[in-house]
Amino acid sequence: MRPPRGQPAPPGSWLMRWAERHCSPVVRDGVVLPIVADLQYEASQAGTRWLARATVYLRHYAGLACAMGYHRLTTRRTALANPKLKAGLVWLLVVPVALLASRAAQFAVVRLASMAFYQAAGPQDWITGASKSVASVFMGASFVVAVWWVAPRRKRVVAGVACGVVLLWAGVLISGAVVQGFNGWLFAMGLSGALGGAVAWGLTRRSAHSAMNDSAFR
Amino acid sequence: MVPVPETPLPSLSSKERIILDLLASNGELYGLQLVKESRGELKRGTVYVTLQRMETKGLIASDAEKLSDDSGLVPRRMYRATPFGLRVRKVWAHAARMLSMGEAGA
Repeated sequence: MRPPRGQPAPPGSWLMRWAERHCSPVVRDGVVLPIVADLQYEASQAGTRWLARATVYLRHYAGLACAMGYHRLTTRRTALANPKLKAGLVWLLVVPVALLASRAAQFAVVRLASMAFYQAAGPQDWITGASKSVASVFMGASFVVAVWWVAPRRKRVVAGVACGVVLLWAGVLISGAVVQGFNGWLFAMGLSGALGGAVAWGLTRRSAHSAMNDSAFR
Repeated sequence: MVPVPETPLPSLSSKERIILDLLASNGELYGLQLVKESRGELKRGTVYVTLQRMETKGLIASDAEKLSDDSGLVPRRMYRATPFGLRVRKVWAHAARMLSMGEAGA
């Protein structure tokens, strides 16, 4: 919307150009345009009085900011109905959920072991080492399964990547175990984690849910 | 007997109710006029978000004011309640009255 040549741009012209560049048509036509129309009307009513015009501009720009925020809040559900946006948000959750699942599995197994063996006879470091090794199996498995479960698409590929991460982590543990004198429990934890991750990956590969998901997105 | 299909009753927020009441009593109004007539219940800017939602629901309709092509100004929109909007307003007002009668009689 441009004024005829030689005439100054009407109030709100910069706002209209900004809206055309940065806002969706729905927001531009439903929110910005009516406010600009009111701004132009009230600015014409204010005439040349600078204080009155400044008040009009301030009031309408503040109103626009509130309207944009209110529009965002009230259309939040509509925005989340956008499949691409929803998938993007779900992808962001994959790693935190997987780490949380892994941590939860470790906590559960170690807690169970300490409850089961708290008065057991025998060296405590054996019991601690054994419980941590068993926990590593479940940590590796839960990490892979959680990534596979949360990923919105390409589940098999994503589970493979997660298994790779688990194997990398296990490799770090194993190399740490052998570098400065052999540490049996650290070695066992690394091996157990790798085993858990690999078994979980094998199970997810065979899952019918994976097959359905991947064929839907081929 | 053929059952009559039920029209789902659209929800009506307090602000939508105020807008419908104002349009029912005043006919057609601009957005700024709605804000002024509401005596602070409606706010500038956010009123247009509500009006856009009501227009999507079919409760109100709007027409742009006629301006000359060379003015370079954005036309303001004049809003009016649709017959459907007026019926919805009547139904909700009736429901509110029935509720208050029930409470008074209890």
